[in-house]
Amino acid sequence: MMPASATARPFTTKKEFYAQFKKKSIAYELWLRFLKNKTAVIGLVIFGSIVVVAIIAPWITDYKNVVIKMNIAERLQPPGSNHWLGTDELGRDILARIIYGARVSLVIGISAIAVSLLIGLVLGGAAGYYGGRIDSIIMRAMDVFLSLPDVLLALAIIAAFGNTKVNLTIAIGLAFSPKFSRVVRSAVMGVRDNEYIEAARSIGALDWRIIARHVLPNCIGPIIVQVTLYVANAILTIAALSFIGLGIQPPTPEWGNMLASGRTFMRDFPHIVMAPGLAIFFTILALNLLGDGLRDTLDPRLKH
Amino acid sequence: MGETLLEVKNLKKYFRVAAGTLHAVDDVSFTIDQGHTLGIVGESGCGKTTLGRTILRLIEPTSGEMVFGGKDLRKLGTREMRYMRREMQIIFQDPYSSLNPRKPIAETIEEPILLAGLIPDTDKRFMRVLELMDTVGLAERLINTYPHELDGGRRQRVGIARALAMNPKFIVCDEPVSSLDVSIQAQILNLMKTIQRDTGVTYLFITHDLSVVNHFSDDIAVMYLGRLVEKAPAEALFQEPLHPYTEALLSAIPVPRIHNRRERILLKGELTSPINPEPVCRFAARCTKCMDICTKEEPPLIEARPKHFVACHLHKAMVS
Amino acid sequence: MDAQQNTLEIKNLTVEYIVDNEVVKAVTGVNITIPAGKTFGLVGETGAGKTTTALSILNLLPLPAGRIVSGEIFVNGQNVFGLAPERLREMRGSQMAMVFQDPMSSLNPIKTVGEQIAEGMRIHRGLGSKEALIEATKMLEMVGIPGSRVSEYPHQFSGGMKQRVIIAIALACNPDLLIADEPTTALDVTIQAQVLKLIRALKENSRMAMLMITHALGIVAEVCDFVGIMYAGRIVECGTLADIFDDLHHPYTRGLFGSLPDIENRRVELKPIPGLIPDPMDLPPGCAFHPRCSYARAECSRDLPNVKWLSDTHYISCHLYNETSENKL
Repeated sequence: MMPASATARPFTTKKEFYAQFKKKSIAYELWLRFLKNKTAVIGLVIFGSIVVVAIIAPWITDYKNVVIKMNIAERLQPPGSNHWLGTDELGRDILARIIYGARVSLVIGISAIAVSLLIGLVLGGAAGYYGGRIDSIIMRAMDVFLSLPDVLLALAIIAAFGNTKVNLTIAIGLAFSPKFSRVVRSAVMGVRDNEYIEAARSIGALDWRIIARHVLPNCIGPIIVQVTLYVANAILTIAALSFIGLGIQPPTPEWGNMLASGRTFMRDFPHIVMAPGLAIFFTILALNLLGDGLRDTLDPRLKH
Repeated sequence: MGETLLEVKNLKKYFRVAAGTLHAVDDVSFTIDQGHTLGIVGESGCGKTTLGRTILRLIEPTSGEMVFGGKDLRKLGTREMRYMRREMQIIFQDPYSSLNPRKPIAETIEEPILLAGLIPDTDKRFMRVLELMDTVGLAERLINTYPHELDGGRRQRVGIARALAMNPKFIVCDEPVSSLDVSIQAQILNLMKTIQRDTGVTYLFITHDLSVVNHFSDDIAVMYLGRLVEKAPAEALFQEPLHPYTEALLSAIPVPRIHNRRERILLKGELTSPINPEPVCRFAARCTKCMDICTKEEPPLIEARPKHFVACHLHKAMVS
Repeated sequence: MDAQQNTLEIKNLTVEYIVDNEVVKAVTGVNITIPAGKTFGLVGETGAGKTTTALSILNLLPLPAGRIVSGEIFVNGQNVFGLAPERLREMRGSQMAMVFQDPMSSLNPIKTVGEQIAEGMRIHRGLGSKEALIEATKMLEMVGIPGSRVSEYPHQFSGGMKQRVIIAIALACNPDLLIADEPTTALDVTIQAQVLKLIRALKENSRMAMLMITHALGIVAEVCDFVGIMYAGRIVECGTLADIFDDLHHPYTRGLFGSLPDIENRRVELKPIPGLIPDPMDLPPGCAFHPRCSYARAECSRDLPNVKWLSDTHYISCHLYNETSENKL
């Protein structure tokens, strides 16, 4: 015999109960809304293809024998059937270098922003949630960093610790972290005063739980938007640093250093700089379109 | 029944603001018996919301005591206080901002049980959630819905279910129906009454709506600019208000009737805020019965009639 | 009755909104007539269509979502929908004015209250800035604020005073029609009493007609001459104050009164209307109230009830009254 209370219902476990209903998620609804935004979808498609190409690069081309191998005989060839985008001053296939360059830009750009996001979540989250003195101390320190140009800050870090990919990532990550702290802080402050935060406190939830479960999930919208826009910024910064010779060093292909080495030949062979230039242009454009689209999708909060 | 559940003694909460010190709650004392409802009425800025939050220590008081079930809440450590939160809950005014928009309502109702670790078994905990939803009149099929998919009345039911999750002895209700439509308001009030009858829970019912508080509360306390100016059983307060402010407040209620309307006592002036208040009667400036003494001395809260307390120079303490 | 006497006449107004490619019927077949000097209270809950009706009168529906499907609105005998945009702008402010619910967001924070009151008078009455300011001071005094405060900014006023300033702005050009959308909802009880007294005094001293939108029957009892009860976009019962308060008939009207606590007797139980306010995107067929109505019969879920006139002033739209004129409730 089952207890009376259990027999009253056709189920006894959570799983059985949920089996009765179709589960729908907020994420799915947001995705449908995002799809309605044409420009954002275009941004996503362009950025998505760049990411896919970067991932499958080793299967498209050969790093050792094509990307970094000099071939003086075929130098400075215009775009054609052998080399779709032509070759550079050392006879390397530009398309292959662009594809491998995407790997470098994306990996460093995304991981740098991951670093600054992590710092921003901790510092900005604490500043926004606790407010008062903690807020003042953190944010004044951030203001000092903000008053320096990103590139200069990154330069200083690279100059001090040496020019490796890891250092470059950390340098850009640190340089961008004050901006993220600001974004996270203001998002947290907007959420902090909602009554559901007080409700969580009234049922005895600890601060870390309130921040992780109630505050941050509700700040995710503006943060995601900033992430996409700042990844674009970070990619530009890498390119800029490489262009002036302080970022990725040749022969490793990177769009910035491709621009730099090609600029001597720019007048006679414009395709050399055109390709990396356009690569940067489309990546940044795609990320900005995507960011704007996400803002439209996520910003008008889940209103009907 | 009849046993005191909560005793608030000389509770003060001051805030520092740019213009000085805001006496949001100033020397408020009262008791609530188990299973009873005390209504707190007042206009904006009278400190009623701060009072409710301070009693629950969601805001730390400046001074005073809150004795709950024999224990002084202010003497409890963080752990003990978290444990105590099971016994005392709050229902919020705004059913739109009091629920986490990113959580399905089942998770919101489940969270207090989860945090207290009362029911470790997932399925049993889930059954408890369904039971709670049933108690507050939410259909089971709504379990997966998000707050934005529900109307105000249902959201408020979710808030009530969350508050009831740990069978609390005491619930602070901060304007629980004022943002709801009239027909839904009555549903929620009836639901809260039924819950009280079934569980014997004690309510502190904060509102600005006098007709609702009269209907809902056993005792009513009137606050004005941080002070408790009158406290009495509901009938006594409505039949014979002693404080001129209470009198004016009662006469200002728009009554849905067109015959036998009461005469209005119109107050002059506006509500101010109790920043650096002088030690005089805070109502004196707007009072129609203001005397010399009112602008010189602050009236204490005295028992003018049996169980009827008032802070006004017009009244003398009862001789017992 | 001569049409000339009526300040406002709404005839068979139907308004829709298009939201996410779906049609939301906000207002359906609404008729309202307000003679000069009288106040009409439009009562209903969230989503009943009260504010949409008000915005239609000023032809201020949010575009492109809002659409007037049918109907006519006459203000002082002029059809509002037929007017050229300039002519309509001229009418707003001079012949009709609106007071909104939220006094905090209806005033421009960087202009003095005097300038804001004077603005309409300069536009519509052609006054110079000095004259207008003098007039503005008089208006302030009329709504019970010392004229000396004319050059202060909105943030220096309390909520009740701001609402009076807004009323002063609305009245600056002596409109023939004042539309007040929940004018006291955001105010405290004692302040509300002051504002209601002001509104009553204005009514007695002028020939201004007023459309008062509210959800509070207590306020209706205090200031209105006629009452329309709105539910899901339709007026379900309409009559004089006495018709509605002494002689109410529609089950929804009953439900509204039953939901209110009795101030005289706290022991009287509340009799709430069961169920939820219907979603205007998905209205029930037949009488929209039938799922919540305890008197509902088969035809209620099938056919729309006709309008039945119970007296010269009182009509009702409910199946219970269709066959006989006897009162069933």
